[in-house]
Amino acid sequence: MSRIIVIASTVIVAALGGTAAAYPQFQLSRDQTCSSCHLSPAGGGLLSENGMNFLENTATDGVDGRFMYGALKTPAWLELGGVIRTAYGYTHTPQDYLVGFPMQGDIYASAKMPAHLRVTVTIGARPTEHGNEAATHAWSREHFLTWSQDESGTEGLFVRAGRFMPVFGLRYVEHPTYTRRFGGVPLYGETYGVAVEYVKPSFEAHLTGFIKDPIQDTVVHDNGGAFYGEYRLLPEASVGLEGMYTKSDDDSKLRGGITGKYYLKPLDLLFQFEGQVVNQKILSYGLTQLVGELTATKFFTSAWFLDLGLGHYDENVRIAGLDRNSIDLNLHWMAISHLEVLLTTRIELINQGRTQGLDGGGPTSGYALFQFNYRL
Amino acid sequence: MVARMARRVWIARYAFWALWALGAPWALGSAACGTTDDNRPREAQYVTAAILAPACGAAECHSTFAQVDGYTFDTLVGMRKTIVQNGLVKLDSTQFDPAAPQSSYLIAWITEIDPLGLGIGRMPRDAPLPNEDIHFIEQWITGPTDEQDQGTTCTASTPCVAGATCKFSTGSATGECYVITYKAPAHGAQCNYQSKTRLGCLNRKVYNCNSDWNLDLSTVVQDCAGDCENGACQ
Repeated sequence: MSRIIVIASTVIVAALGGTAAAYPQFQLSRDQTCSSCHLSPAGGGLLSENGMNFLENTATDGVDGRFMYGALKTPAWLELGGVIRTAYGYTHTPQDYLVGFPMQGDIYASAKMPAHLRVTVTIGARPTEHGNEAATHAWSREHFLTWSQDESGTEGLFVRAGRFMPVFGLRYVEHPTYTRRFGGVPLYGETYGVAVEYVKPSFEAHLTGFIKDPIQDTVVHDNGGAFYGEYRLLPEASVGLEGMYTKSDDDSKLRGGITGKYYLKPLDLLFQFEGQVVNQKILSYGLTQLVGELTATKFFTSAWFLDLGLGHYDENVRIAGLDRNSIDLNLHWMAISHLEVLLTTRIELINQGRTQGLDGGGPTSGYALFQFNYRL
Repeated sequence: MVARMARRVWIARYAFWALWALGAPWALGSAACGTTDDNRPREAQYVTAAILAPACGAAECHSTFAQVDGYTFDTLVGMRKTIVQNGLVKLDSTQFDPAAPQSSYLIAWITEIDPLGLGIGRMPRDAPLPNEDIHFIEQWITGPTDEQDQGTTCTASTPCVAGATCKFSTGSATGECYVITYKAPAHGAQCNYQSKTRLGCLNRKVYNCNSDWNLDLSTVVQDCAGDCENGACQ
């Protein structure tokens, strides 16, 4: 049969899991840096007091944004948080599925220590590893020690060591975005490393050295280094440079790219761009890849915004018919300070949807999913 | 000061729109680039690193991290084990003829919807592979990539020994025997990961497996009269 429909209340659709991270859409449009709302200098994970206040003022129902609505008191030195994410909807790849699956269940903790130090740990559920299920139901995706020059931890010099995602590019939340999946920072791409970071309202720079996780079976198998620098020419415009070198047993990759953001304040409209050129070397063969994403985000009211994204990935520019383009349309609703409802949709075209016999194209695919992102 | 600020505004605006102006056609139009002269190396390492790892080895799929259903496609070592352990390509079996790679499970999984009637759709399940990559994998399975002249004369009535192929010259009733070494699915893919005997098959001969699951081609352990599978003559 040409189509099968699988209806399941709980189907794990592998490649569509995810982890919560900072929204790059809010940078420039709402504030200058990720660290003004997040405890991490690169964004993502736990919110700072400013971040929680922002959500309270942004959401349709701006209830108490603190952990457990403020019902669970923690010492001043300890921040707790958590996130549960699920998704339900339809995928076409090219078979048709109705799906529902958990995406994320994580608890965050961050403890402020003397001498401007902070310990951050994320513990949560993970996909089990086949043949090693008993030991792989839960894990710590991130755990790192941060030293910050500034006691508030929002800007200045930072040094981080531990397990975290190398800071690279615009860092979209949606991991199917090509600049994440094929752009060097895939889902669960966290690994052990050391980062030196400098964040100011007018610019930021992140230099990370990392190694393949020596403890567990991982997604990335590389040792390498990454650089990302962003200069905000104006409060509403920034340009960035990125570079990454990775080497595994099977290949090496050298990535270079640019980013750009422009916020049109009168229209409450944010444009973002990230483009990479990747040189991959396998055996003695070198190939060039292109990875890019153009996004426009329109903020309607404070609680609603819409992303229109255009992605491009060319696996090998020498060979015709290997390129992919994605068109993403995501509608976000910050329903309450703790809940975001997201309709995320995608159409993906191979060789712009052209098929010439067996060559030069491929099936068109896509999905439409409702996501519920609940922050504890 | 005002002039400096105005200049920064001007640079910021025009730099950004220049990025968009360059980026949009790049994203939309580069499909027209490229050539059909496919010079990609038909090697397991290339197939893994350039095609299978990014498409099939995503975090929650067939990565080393999750290894869904015991399949791993994000490293060369994992891919070799996966191909052999799960019988995705069996070169020495009559079930899968190297000359007809479409009949291998590997190609069936990436081209057909629910090929085995298990309710499992075409792979990769989040985004299909380009036809050009599927065609390339078929070529990789097909091989051969290396031919060694045995030097033995053969005719239609006196064929070569098992595992060797008779190549006739144009218009001639006699030919020469060649041993064909298939690189797909790479040296060592015939070494069975689960085999305690550490033996593997190639061209109807049994060889020892090295510690890295490569076949030790220096010594033939056994010649098989017929098919060879999982390190044993059938």
